[in-house]
Amino acid sequence: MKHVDSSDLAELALAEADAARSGPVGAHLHQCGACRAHLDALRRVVDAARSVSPADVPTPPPQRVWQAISAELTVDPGSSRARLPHSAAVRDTAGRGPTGHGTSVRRAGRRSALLLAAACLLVGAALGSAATWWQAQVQVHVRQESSGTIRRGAEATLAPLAVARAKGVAHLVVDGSAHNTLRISVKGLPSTKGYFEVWLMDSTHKRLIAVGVLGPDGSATLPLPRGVDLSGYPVVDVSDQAYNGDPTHSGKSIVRGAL
Amino acid sequence: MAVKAAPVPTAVPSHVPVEENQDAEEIAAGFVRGDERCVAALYQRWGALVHTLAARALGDAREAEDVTQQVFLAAWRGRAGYRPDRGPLSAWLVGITRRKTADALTARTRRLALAAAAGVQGETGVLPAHDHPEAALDRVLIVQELGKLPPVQRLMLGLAFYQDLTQVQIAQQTGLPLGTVKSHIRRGLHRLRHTLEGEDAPVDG
Repeated sequence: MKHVDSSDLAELALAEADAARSGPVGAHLHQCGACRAHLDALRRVVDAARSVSPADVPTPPPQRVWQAISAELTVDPGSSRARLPHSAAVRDTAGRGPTGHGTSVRRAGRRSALLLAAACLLVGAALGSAATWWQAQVQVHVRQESSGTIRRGAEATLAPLAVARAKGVAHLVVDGSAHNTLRISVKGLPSTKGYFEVWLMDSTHKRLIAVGVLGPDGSATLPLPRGVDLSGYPVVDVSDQAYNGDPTHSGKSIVRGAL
Repeated sequence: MAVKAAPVPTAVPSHVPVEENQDAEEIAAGFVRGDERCVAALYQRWGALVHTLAARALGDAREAEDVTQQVFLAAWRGRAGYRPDRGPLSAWLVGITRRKTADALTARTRRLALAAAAGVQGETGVLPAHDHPEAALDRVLIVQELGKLPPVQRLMLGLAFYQDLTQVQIAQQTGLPLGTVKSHIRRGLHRLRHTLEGEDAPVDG
């Protein structure tokens, strides 16, 4: 008999321990060390996953640990809160395309906020056995993903500015957490050598918050900064930005609309 | 009870791990170059994991803090031993954490033996491991990695792990084709397995 299919091994690893003893599969496992080792490795994963508890959720050490480490180095103790100063430059030389220092820092901030929110949800919600821990995960997941529990907030029709055929729509998604999301989709974008950035603006177009970039299909789902007063920034704007490292608005707005 | 599965998310999660990887690569590159600021970035990103691995395996907060400190200092001093082609920096750090934790447990056993030989009744602060340390490390790594999986994979695996559903039942509940469910579970399990096995212990530094 040929080796056991890896999906069947997965099913066996997830099933009762004696499920692997019967039938032709059981016979093969009895004589095939490779399949048995594969199954054992998957069982190790399943056993660990089924026995997790809230205390297994990674939690940061107290501040004194970093102080002790930094005392042994010459780094500034405050720098564990700082991001990599040259991350934008590193990204450039790594050939992944320059994104500009400002963009990189903004992205990093948003990402760590998301990670922090996820960690808080985990720690706050998990109270009992592995199954309880998982229930909490599912609830978080359903709240995030199910359109039924997400409220669709204000909507903006984005009118063309630079090219007549460009138009789009943006709407706020309010999911009950502190982080609102802006879903935006723009059709008829002109070709660009740069990228399209999404901004929130005040009504005078003087004060701006960059919230992210459009994907290759002209759409994006962007988390908004925590605590931003949207009544002060009611205008959604999409600009054509060059890869020149300048984090400010290029002045080349493609579409714009008020929420 | 049956958990009603959320609609399959397609747009949201996929970009997150990529950016995370890019960020990790930047940190690794700076770290290998000897940029001390990258120790801070490394600590910011992996300090919680290292600390919790040590805390769960040792069952002692003070010792876990010591081990966390040792791990980051050993990583910095032994950075020449990191081989990017053999795995990510995080896996290398986990490997150091395993070793430092094992060292701490060995030292504890030695202290207990010395105390016993000297006739001391239970040295204060010296505890036996509260658990199989290897199993504790596995659990922490699984929690960490489950959180990084694409949400669909996490959901499929959760239904299999915690709701005890078969792959056929998961397909029925979620409305996904059986082949898709099988592929998500196979890939998710493979990645978790890799997380448990993937570390290369570094040459001591």
